[in-house]
This record gives sequence, structure tokens and C-alpha cells, in this order.
Amino acid sequence: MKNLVLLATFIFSVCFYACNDDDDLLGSASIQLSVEDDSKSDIDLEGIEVKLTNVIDNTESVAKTNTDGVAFFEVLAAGTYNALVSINEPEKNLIINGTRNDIVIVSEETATVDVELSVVNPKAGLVIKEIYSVGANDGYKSLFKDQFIEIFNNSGETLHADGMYVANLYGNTGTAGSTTDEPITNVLSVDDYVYADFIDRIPGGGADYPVEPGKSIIIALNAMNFKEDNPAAEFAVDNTGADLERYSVKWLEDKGLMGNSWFDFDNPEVPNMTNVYMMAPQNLWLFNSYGTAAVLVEKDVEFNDSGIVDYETDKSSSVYKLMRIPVEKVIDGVEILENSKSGAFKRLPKKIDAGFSYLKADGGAFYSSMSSRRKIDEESSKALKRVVLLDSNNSAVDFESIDVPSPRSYDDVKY
Amino acid sequence: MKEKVILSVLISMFMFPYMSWSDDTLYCEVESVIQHVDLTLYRYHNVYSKSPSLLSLWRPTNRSYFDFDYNGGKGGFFHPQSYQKIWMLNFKTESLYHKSESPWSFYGQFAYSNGRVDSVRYNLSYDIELNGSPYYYFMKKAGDWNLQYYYFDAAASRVINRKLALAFNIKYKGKQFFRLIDTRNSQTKLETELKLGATYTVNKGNSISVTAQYEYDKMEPSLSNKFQHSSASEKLLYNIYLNAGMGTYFKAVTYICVTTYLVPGVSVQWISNPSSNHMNSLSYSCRSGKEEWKNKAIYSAEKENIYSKYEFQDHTVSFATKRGLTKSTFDGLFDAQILQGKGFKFNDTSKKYTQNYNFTNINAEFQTLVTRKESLFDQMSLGVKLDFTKKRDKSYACSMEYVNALFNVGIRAHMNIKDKYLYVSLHPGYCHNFSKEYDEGIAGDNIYTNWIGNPVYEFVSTNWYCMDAKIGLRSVIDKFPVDFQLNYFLKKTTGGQDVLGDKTADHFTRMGCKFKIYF
Repeated sequence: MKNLVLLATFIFSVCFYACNDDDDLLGSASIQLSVEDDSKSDIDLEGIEVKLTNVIDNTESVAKTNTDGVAFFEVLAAGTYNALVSINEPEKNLIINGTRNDIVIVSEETATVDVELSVVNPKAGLVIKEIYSVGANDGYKSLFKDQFIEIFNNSGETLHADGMYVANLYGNTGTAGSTTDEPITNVLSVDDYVYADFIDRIPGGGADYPVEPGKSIIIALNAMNFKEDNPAAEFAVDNTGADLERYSVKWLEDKGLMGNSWFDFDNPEVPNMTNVYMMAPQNLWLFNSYGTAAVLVEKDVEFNDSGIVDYETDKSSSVYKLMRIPVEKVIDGVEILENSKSGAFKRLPKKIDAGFSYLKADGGAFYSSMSSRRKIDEESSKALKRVVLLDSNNSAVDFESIDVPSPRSYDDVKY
Repeated sequence: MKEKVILSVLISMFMFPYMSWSDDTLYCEVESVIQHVDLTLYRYHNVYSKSPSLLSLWRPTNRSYFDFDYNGGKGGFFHPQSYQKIWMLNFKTESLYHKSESPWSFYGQFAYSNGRVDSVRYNLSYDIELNGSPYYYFMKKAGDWNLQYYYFDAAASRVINRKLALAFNIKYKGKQFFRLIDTRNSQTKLETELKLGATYTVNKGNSISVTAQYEYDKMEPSLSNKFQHSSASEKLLYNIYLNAGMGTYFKAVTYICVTTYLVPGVSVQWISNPSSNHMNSLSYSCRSGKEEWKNKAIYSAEKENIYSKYEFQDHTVSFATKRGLTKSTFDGLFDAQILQGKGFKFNDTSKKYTQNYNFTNINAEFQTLVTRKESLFDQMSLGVKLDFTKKRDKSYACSMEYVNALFNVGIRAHMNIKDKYLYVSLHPGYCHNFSKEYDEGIAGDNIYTNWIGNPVYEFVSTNWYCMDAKIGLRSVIDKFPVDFQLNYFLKKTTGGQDVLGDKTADHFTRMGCKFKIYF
């Protein structure tokens, strides 16, 4: 009898606690689209697909806008989201972008968020096709010595790259757990200028570096074959085919500074880039290995000491001397961050790159051999019968993460 | 029908000590000593250790032993975040000491274990879900671990006067876990617990004890890689996550968290006739604990920035009784516990804590043990344990709950061979799932659900049976009683149910040997 009483007590307790439940923390979101430029206000905002990405578990929710241009997401896990709108209609020569990062969804509340759409005029010109910066997964043999950037001619005519600048933008990339990381935009506005720690210039007198339609030029840190004598050659890259090399030891030594001759080699067979600016005390031109933001800048810009700005934060005693670059002079730019929740760390303004990309959504691509590559615009390529790359000024749409670097991978693609 | 059978067995167990069995020829002095020590320590752990000052009233016989044990097990039917293979070497010694003319009574224990476990999956912290906490590191890559445990437990009680006894009890447990493959983890955890108690003798047969306890634990992992593991083909294999619920987690974890646990508690115990053959005890204890995960780098500098917190409370009621008859004793134990916990996760975008996780566990356990001195079947036991567990991630509306009951019986038979005592014991058990429910909510595509949630649910809601068999020989070496034992344990799903999608996943076996010497 006593045992039955105990059993009954237990069952009663179970029922009591089972009923005593707290509410869930689900939330919802209402995304209101609007057009940034009033002159384009005739764009129909109905039926536009809006994508919300949970920056933690990377799950995606999609909803279409109603007649008022509102996309409603009824059930979302409480957390942080990035919103993305991307419309690419080549037949109308229309590209529309809209992004909003770090939208916080709170339980039992509807987050009302405005996303401004910007209409992009596709520039058929030189674009960044690929950036490889995270290092090879080859047992620390190549380290980061094998970095390169590839610039592609997306137009139908031959263009010359002579005199253009390539720059690495400074800023943290959103590495989780860092005690000092903070977005550069907390201190410096990127509306009119972006801020570089290294700038190099493509040499030439105006006709030395022609780039044919659908072709590209490669600028490597070291124009060496890293596959040679490498047991993990499949993860390494052969940079001997590079058109240009970035070598800064001599330039630094001429200034009375010491270069990094362990990391920075000079292949006499490959012409060197012209060194323009390097932030002290760095001694090497190196893309940010956790996530690169790089820009291609027009040739008619002069960089001198008047363009140097101080960047300092409360979390660090260091003062960083960065060279500012006018946004209006940027031909193309790509924002690659550490992972899908690093949106707050963007270094480029929306007008250059509306979104951002990453190699692995959950981070950890350091020494992975992975590379960021611009995707082919299949429809345009078929229509124009040549390789045309996506260029919606939104790397979240235009770029893909690939397993190993692929220099000149589109050279043999035919349409 | 099943209920009637269980009830009949239960009634039989209660009646068992009052039945008259006799077989004087089977009586053995060695067995008497060993049985006495084992029963004394069994009662210490289940009754008297709750209030260390009861040592003064209990005044047990002075006894010690050394225990060496080696066992190994393997099989596919195991908790998905636990091991698939295990080898453990254990050493343990325990002593009870009371000098008749002294006001002091003592208890001491030292234990050391060293072993290895294989194939621990989705778990980079090893010792996880303590008190229902959802916080632990995990990664997809399974790992092998070396384990070391050190345990020290000492209690001293002093009679102050005829009415009052005071005592303290200190426990110190060191746990060292070493993950042997990338991502490696050298993790140390130190657990210290202090109890201060007093027992007041109300009248000749009744005493009340009050004990305050304070537990402080600290865990510090050290994560590192020996090799590169970041290629695209290993995309999710080596990513490190900090779990924070059932779908909620921190990703791209590159920092090390130091975990601290603060658990104060209090207990009250009434006991009647503690040193007699008709003892009854009723106790209530409660604890309120807080677990905090702090970024190691920031913890040193600012002593803030806590990534996640888990707060819990538990309440335990225990009743114990002992009936000693001429040739038999009966021990009955009943424990009921309610444990509730809440998890708080820090949102690094909103800079606020979100109370996103709830945990409830209610369990009740009833055990009886009948020991007879002069009988072929000299030990019989019966136990029933009911367990209700519910956990819910509020951020993902993901919940899991189940009710399991574990039934077990035990019987030991023996025979004397000259001056030696040979015994065989069998403890079959059966675990039945009465109800289960798993609602993934909106965590259906979440890695937690795919990696951990689904396989864990499948494991905890599976019916299984087990058999624990032992054969041993008790003898005397140089006047000291010794016990050699071989044991075998089998756990198998009912109907050969394949739990984890592997044909070998329906069972788990363990074998071992033990040598114990008594003083």
C-alpha cells in the first residue's frame, strides 16, 4: 500500500511539473522594403523574395513581400539574423541589392526592420575574380606565402590594368572570443572612404598589362610553385603562372626598414608590383588570413601622407596608421569575413559590397586551402557567348567558397 | 497483470526477513566479517553520510578494506555522447574508526581510477550534463579519452556532551580528462565539498541533525590541435561549438571557458535508534547551485563576461529503515528527488542574457536488501526506480521528455568449500519506457538535432534489459579476509532493437575482476 502511495505521489509530481511549463521564446519579423534612390521609386516591391539567415545555426527562412513591400516571417528562433534581397535581371539590365545584418529577434515580439534596396548599375569592367588568403592545408608547408588575387575582365573589350591599385582593407573580421575585436566602423565611417593597411600598384605605362575579355591577371604574394616537393600538393597552389608578384623587402630596406625575407621572396622572372603604402610596423604585404576585404582602385588617385588617418580604439593602446581610399574611386571590392555572424565587422560600404561572404559559415577556415571565387552569371554568359561573372555588388550572392584555389579556372570555359 | 506480479514480489521482499531459514553448516566466519563490513558501509553511504555528526551516535565497528578492480566493456548500445569502449582500473580504500573511550569518530575514503574510453561522440568536455546543465563543448569528430579520478573523503565527528555532537566532512575530487586525438583537450576539474553538521539527541531514541554544505568546483579545459584539420572536406568535423540548449549553441568557438560551480545546501535528518537493529531515518536536503562559463582571457582581466549561466535547485527526501533479526537483516531505502534548472545564454549582439533552457528531473527510487547469515540464498534485493526527465529549449521550441522505470532484483547463493566461501550472484534488471515525446520545434535543420538530439532521444527512450552476474570466492590470507570476484554485465535492447543504426548497436557488455582485502 505504502508503495502505491509513493507511486501515486511520483505520478502526481510528474504531472504537476509537466504542466508547469514556461513559454517559448519564438519571435517574428516584419521586413519592410524601400528603395534608396527616389528616382527608382517605380520599382514594384511586391513579390520580392527576402531571405533571413540565422547567423548561429545558418538556417534560412524565405518570405515574399506583399503589395506594401512587407515580408513577414511568422516563426523565428530568438537570435540574430541577416536579411538579404538580391534581384538580378540581365534582360532589364537591372540589379537590386538590399541587406541588413544583425537583426535581433526577441521572443514574443515582432521585429520591424527596414531594408533599403539599392539599384546597381552593372559596370562591365575589371572585377576581382578570386582571393586566396587563408593558407594551405598542407602541413604548414606553404603557410600564407601562397596568397594571390585574380582580376578578371568582365567586359567585352580588352582593358588595361596598368596603374590600378590593389589594397587590403584593415579591420577585425569577427573572430569569436576575441577580447579586443571590434568593427572598424565603430570608429571610422566608411561612407566616403575605406581604410587600407597595404596598397600596391600595377606597374606599366598604359598598355603593358592588357586583359582580354573573359581573361584575368594574377597577382601573387610569391610567384612560386608551392606544389613542388610538397606531400600535400593537392592542397597547394602553383603561383609560377602569376602575372605580377608583390615583393616589398627592397622597398622597405630603401626606407631604412627591415623586410620579411623569410616570407617574402622575389622571383626575378615575374615583374613586381609597385609598393605604395604599408602600415608600420608591418614588414610584409599580406591579406588578412581570417577574412580579406580587398579593393581595386582607379589609376587616377594619388596617395600621400595627407591621406593617412589614425585608428585607435578603447580596447587597444596601439594607434594604427591607415591610408584612406575614396569610395568613389573604387572599381570593385569584396568583403570576406570570418563566419556568417560576423556581419557587424564589414569594412566596405554597401555601395561597394552590399553583403559579405565567408569560407565556412561556422568559421575555422584558417589553413583550409579554401578560396573565395566569383561565380559565373550563366544567363548573361549564354546570351553574350562568353564568360560573364556575377557582379551585383553583393558578395553574399556573387561569391562562392571553393575547396582549393582555382587560378585562371574560367580560361577554358566556353559558351 | 504485470502490476500484480511486481506487487507480489514487493510484498515477498518485505516478508522475506521474517521467514525462518536455517542451515548452520553454511555459516562461515569469513563471510560474516565481509558481510558486516559491506553492510556497514552500505548503510553509511545511504543513511549516515547525509549528516556526518551521526557518526558519533552510530559508532560502528572499526573496519577498513582495500579494493582493486579492473574492468572493460564494449558495445554499440551506449549513450551517444558517452563511450563505446571502456577500460578502467580502480583502487579504493575506506575506513570507519571509533575508539571506545574517545569522543571522536572518523570516516575516510581514498579512491583512484585510471582508464580509457573510446568513441566519445559530439562531446569535447566529457563529463557533461551534470545537474541537467546543457553547457559543454562539442564537435563532430569522435574522440578517445584517458581518464583519471582522485577522490578523497574524510569525516570526523565529536561528541560534545550527552545531547550534542558536531562534525565536519570534506570531499575532494580531482578529475583529469585527456582527449587523445585532435582536437585535443587536457581538462582538469576540481570538486571540493565541505559539510558542517550537528546532531542533537532529543530523547533516548530520537535525534535531529542539521548539516550545512558548500560545494565549489572549477573546470578548466585546454583545447589544441596537433595537426591541420581545416580543409573543405573536413568542413564541420573539427569545428568547436559550445552547446547552450537543444538547438542553441555558440559557434566558431576559439576561446577557452573556465567553468565554476557554486552549490550551497542544507539538510535536516531525523533518525531513531541509530545504532540499534530497528533504525529509521528520514531526511530532507536541498541545494541551490550556479554554474558559470567564463571566457578565460577575460576572466583573468575583468572577472566578468560570462557566456552562459545555469542555475538549479534540487530537493531530496530520503527514508531508510533497518530491521535486524536473529539471523537476518532488512534494509529499506526510499529516495525521491526533484531537480530543476534554468540556462541563461548571453547574446553577443543584444548584450543581454536570455533564459532559454529549462530542465526538470524527478526521480524516485525504492530499494530493499535482505541479508541472511545462515542461508543458501544469503542476499536478496529488489529495486524500482522511476525517472521523469523533461528538457526544453525555449529559443527553438524544442523539447524532449520521457518517463522510464528500472526494475531490478538480485539474489546471491553460496556454498562453503572447506574454509572458503564460494558465491554466485545474479542481478537481472529491466528498463521500460512508459512515455516519450520529442518535439524538434524549429530546430529540425539544426546540427544539435541531427548530431545529438535524435540519437540521444532514441537511446533514452529504448526499452532494455540487463544482467549483472558475479562469481566470487572469499577466503583468508594471513588472517585477513579477502574476496576475489569475476563479474559480467550485459545490457541489451528488447527485441534486438537497433538503436543507433548499427547492427552491433543493440547491446553493451562489460567484464571485470576484483580483489578486496578487509582489515
